[in-house]
Amino acid sequence: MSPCAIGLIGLAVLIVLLFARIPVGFAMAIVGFVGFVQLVNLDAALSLLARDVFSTFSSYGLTVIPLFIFMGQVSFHAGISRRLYDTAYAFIGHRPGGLAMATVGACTAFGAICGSSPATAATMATVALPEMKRYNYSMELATGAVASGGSLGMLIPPSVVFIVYGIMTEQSIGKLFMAGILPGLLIAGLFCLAITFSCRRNPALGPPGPQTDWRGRIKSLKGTGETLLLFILVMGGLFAGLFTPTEAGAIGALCSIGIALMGRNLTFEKLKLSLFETTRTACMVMIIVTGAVIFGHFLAVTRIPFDLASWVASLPLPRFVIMMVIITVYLLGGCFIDALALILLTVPIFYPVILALNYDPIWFGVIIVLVTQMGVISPPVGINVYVVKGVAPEIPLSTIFKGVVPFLAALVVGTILLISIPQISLFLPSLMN
Amino acid sequence: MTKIIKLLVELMNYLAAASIIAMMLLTCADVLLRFFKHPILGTYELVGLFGALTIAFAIPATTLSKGHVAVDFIVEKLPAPAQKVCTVIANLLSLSLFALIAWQSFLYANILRTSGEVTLSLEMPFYPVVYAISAASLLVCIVLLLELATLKQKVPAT
Repeated sequence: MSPCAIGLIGLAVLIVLLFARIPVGFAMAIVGFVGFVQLVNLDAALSLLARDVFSTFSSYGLTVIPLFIFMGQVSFHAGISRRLYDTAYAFIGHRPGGLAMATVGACTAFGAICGSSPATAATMATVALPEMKRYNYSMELATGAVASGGSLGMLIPPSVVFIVYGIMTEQSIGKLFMAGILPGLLIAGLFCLAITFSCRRNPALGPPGPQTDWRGRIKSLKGTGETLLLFILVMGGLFAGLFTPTEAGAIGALCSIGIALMGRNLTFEKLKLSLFETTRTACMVMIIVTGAVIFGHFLAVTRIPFDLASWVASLPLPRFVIMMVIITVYLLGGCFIDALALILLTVPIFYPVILALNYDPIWFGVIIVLVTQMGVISPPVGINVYVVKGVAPEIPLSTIFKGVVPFLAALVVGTILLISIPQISLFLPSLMN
Repeated sequence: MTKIIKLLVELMNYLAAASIIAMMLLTCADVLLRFFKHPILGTYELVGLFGALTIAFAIPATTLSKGHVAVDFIVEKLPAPAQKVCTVIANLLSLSLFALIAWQSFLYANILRTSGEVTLSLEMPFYPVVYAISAASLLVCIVLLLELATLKQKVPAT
């Protein structure tokens, strides 16, 4: 059998294993290992297994993952999200749909210090849902805003997905982070437009909340100081080239502990909770990364990625069409598989294609994060929807999925804009050297 | 027996948490001292090794609490017996994977020890960390076996 055929069988087996509920990272490692045995030999596969595990676990570049997760967890447990929401609420709560927009705004700000989208959705659900209920918001709009707003964290730095993409493709993590800022703000803006539009069509969805006077507003700004400080310190240092991403993560984590302690928002219990949540999430991410490394070695031996790249590049099709096909794969895949796992699984296959077509790798990173972001909030898997359901079990899943629809529309518009105007993503990174 | 295993899992998880703190403090100290032109020698190496310990020691606890990402919406739709079959298969495959990792990491650590391979600037040996990965993978195997055993116990009940 040709290596390419074995590779295709491997991919098919992988999909079967995934659907049989084998953890994604394990399944990739198993198929990668067995495939390598088939194509090379058992001894080489065995010794590669141990070496891959050790070298991935001990990679300095990847230590940035636990550190940024830790920073987000500490901020989460210290209640930063609550204060961000209060500020956004004071400024726009009185408009129609204002509380939902405040949710999106707070998610955007929280995304700037936390890289995990389910964590953002969970924290915003506990903070914002009771408020919106109090002002008679339709639960459809309320839960839709929370689930979708939470997904913004993937685009806005620090983002675990960008870190992993950057390491896999050897692109600068700093540049990827920069590239995510404007698209993140654009999507947040589009989400607010979607809310305004929905509320104009049916004002009962989001009745205006109470008006806060300017004194109250300025007072509420105090709550955002810590986030701003943390963001400027961490991202500023990273963009200015003062620290490596790992150093930025370490400093961010330590500062978030310091800020939380000074504000008396952190107990020893909460710190312990953040730590254990971090070990769990970091391990979950790293197991997938390791599985992808092992699977990637197998794929490289099959030569599928290279053959595919040269085949696609030789097709008599405009590159735009091929891009659309790739985006469709991500769109469909995102509905079934976790965003990070999907990116880890597919980037080794599509990345050579993207390079062969002369697309910018940084821009491509932004686009696939955006597309998988849709998967995070769409059925059947949409993890953020389940997170919101977990916080508010009395709301039926169908209500939340219905509530997500206007936001999905906003994401589609956003994707079209970002594809047609690559400068939105590439302007900020171009300022870096 | 179950108690001892859970205790071990928790102990490892504490070590993972401690490694994160160590990584954070070490990196911050290095950055701070760098401003005074006295960076800590070998920070990157140490942080990488601590990172390896963090992840390795966190696997048993993550496995025990079913924290790994999996695609469950298809299995959820199957009838209960079929679900059980899937769980057993998934468990056995994961078990074989970690048994292989535990075994191969042990051999790899032996090689690293006898060949005396060390980090570049601190000349720290790599092998203790690889033994740690092996030990953690072994504990993952035990956790998975425990799950299989409880699954079997549940059979007469259903």
